[in-house]
Amino acid sequence: MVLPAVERRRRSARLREGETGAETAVGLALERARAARDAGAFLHLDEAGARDRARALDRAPEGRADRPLFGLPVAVKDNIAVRGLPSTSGSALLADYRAPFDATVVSRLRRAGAVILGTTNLDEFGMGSSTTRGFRGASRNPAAPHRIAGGSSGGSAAAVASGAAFAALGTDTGGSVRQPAAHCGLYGIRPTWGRVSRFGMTAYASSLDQVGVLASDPVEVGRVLGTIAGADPRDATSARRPVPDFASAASRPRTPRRLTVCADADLAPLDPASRGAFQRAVRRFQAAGTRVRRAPLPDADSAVAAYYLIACAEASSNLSRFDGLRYGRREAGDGTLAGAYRVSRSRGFGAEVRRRILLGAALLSRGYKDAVYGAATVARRRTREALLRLLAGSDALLLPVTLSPPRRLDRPDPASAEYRADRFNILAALGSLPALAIPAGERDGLPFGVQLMGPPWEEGALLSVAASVA
Amino acid sequence: MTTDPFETVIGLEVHVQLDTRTKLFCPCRNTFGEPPNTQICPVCYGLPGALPVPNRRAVELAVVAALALDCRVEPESVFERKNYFYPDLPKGYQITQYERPLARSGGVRIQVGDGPSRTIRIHRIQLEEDAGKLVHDGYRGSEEGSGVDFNRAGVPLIEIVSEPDLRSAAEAGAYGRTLRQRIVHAGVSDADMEKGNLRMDGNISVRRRGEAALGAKVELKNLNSFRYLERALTYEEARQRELLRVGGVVVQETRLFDESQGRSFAMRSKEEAADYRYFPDPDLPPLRLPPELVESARAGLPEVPADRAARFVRDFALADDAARRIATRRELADYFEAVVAGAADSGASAREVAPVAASFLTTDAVAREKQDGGFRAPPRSLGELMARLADGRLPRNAARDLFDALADRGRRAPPLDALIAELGFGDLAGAGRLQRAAAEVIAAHPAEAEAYRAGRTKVIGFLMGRLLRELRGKADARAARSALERALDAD
Ligand SMILES: [Zn+2]
Repeated sequence: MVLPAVERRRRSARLREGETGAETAVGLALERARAARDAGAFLHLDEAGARDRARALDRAPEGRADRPLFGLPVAVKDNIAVRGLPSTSGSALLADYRAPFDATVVSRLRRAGAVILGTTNLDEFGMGSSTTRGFRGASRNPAAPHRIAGGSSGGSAAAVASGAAFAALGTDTGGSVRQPAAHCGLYGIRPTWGRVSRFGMTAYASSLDQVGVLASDPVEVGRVLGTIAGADPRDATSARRPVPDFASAASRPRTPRRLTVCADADLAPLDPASRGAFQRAVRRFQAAGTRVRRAPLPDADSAVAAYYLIACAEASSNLSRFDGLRYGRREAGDGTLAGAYRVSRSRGFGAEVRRRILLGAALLSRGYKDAVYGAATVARRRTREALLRLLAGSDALLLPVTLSPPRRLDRPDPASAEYRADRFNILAALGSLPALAIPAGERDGLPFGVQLMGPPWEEGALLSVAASVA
Repeated sequence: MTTDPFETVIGLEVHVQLDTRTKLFCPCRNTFGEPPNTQICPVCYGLPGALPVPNRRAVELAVVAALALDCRVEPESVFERKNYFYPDLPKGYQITQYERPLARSGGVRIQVGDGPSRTIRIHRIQLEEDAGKLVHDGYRGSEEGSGVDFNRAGVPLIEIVSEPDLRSAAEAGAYGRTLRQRIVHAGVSDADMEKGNLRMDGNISVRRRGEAALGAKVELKNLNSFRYLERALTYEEARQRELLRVGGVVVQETRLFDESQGRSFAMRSKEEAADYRYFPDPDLPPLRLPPELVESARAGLPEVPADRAARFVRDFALADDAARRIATRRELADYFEAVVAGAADSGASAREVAPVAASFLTTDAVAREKQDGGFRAPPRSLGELMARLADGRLPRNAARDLFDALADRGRRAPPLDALIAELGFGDLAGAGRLQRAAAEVIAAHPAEAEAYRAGRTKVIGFLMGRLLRELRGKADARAARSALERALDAD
């Protein structure tokens, strides 16, 4: 059940201002977390651990100044390692696996005083946009329990929207933070690739994966992002760049001077209600004085193809480590080595994961690699160049996130429709650019969101723009 | 003389483990012989979420190896994933280099017996991680199946790929040995073949002489000693030649040589050859090697032994064989140079002390070096000691005793003079007693001295007798003789 955004923001603000302590905040969150777990948001809820941690924080309130996220109840997507907790990535193959170490983002959250509540539901290994493809079933949308929460970070979105967490970590490979944020009426950021360490995140498609943040207001997003961002000696691809004060950027609203609406001509792929909601969001910026120009999406169809080809190719390799030999579910098969591999992997992985691994392995094979994978790499570079050109003429790009309202749980889409629905979300991933989904009212009584995309490393600017229409 | 109608073409792939403290992509120790699976972490064990971070030292050593083999180091190279399933490969892929290796286009000169020396070109050198090791016995539960020890997984390797320039098993052996020597000498690896620090695969084909195209090649895996390499290649060469001679066809395949049976067996054919689905590793940015890094590695590169020996002959007046004997052992050569420098610092002439020091280090100091596993006597003090030995101020026996004392105390040894006093060699060493005694003997026997100078050098025997009696046997004959000669010549 959704907790109204006003109430969620009030709870956040009171903790931030020091009016409530850690135990109170965590208690409020846990009150809602059990119901959220039953609605599929959590895969594992660490109630005792969270309460202990909150009590310990309150006993040493003098440390509050050094702990920017003092007492903040946070949920973590289950493909991010939390030491000692189950870490399944939504896969039956990892049903019994527990992480023996903290992901860098998790240890940074802890150091900042955040309280980890538990791990949240997802599509298996992040492959999907509905959070129905995990081995433990679907996560319901708190605003409409018979509908999906979006995905693949649907459990994280549902946890925040239902008030069971004040903020959550998700991962975004091609929209997996922004799309559930939009479906659940939240702010959700995908940072520039390299801004946040991936150490401890189970890799799906490494060159596209980024850890992101979901929360109920831009300031909370900025605070959490500021905590987890920055160079990590354990991730060779994390950027050695200073981390700006994202929280204060988020509390300085700035109306953009120029925005580029980047969409197919007349927003054709969107259903009428979503089109109307998107146009209302555009008009809102115009009313505030923003000059809005329109530009076509850079070759969206080939970008979607390139995205899936690269994602599947990398996934086929990243998921090779799950062979059932050293950890995870192991099946003997026919007793041969090949048999053990085959049975462990075909029983352990779900259908969509198997499909993507097979596709990816085929793409990298002799005879296809240069033609297909090579072409995808070229298309990727072109997409980035096109996006950077568009960004040169404006403060940010404004795009839809979803084509239609969250679908009903009992009416699954074919995978191909899901791929097509990603057309706006894969662009930031292919371009290694930051993008932020922001709530933009409702359509058909359901949450609706749009996204802002900015130049590399300009997450702060996106948060300032978001604050101007918050 | 009939000309051989066939020509053998061989190329080698040599894997060398780099002598780093830690593994290539994680902080685990790079060690040998530890209990299984004690040197592992989430990265080299392939846990979800773990990421590789390149070890700078491994990269530096790979660059040193590349320079030592006259390769061109690429300013930018790329780590790629080689994908295949095997229990010793924790991630399901090996991080290696493929399209853009660390270095290319090198070469070494080899010589077989007294034959002419030839250059064998090196095609490329790539930096990569080692795999774990299957263990079949010696642990609990080993009756039920094999285990895997991941201590070796992630240990840094370079793979050195030669051009197909080798023409015989003997050349392949010579090439392998030369490579090993260079690698060890450059300080890049112990290249201990017993420990698997250096492992080789060979590609061999036979073609009709004069043909430009290569014949179907056979890959021989795991040739892990030079003798074994030569035997396997010799066998395979004969097998292919015989096939061709009777009009047969060589099948392109991978074979394994069984030494006990003295023959090779097919492992897999070309059709079954794995497709490794290489692609750039998205977890690792391209490896950029700024020219400064390459140049500083080049500056730190040890001299090639032959050059160093020539310099020893030129600058230190060593005999050819002594120079070679010292220069081929890098640690000894470094120590020798430090000793000579110490002597020079104490005012002695390097050209006079060096031959004495060379002889002392290769004879008297050998046992001590073995015992200590290296040289512990401070080179400065030993230099002074050698200077005194060279000019006859100390007899050889005393020098040996003093050397032992220096080696015993190592860095804590007192200055040489103090040590001499302490050990009671003072009356020998003090203020050139030997020279004084020699001068006295000459002054006491002017007629004999005159006769010597006139060319009747035999009289030196008489003078020696006097001198030794004067010294009551506390100087050795050689030192006494040279002191005497010097004194006679100086007058
Ligand atoms: Zn390790």
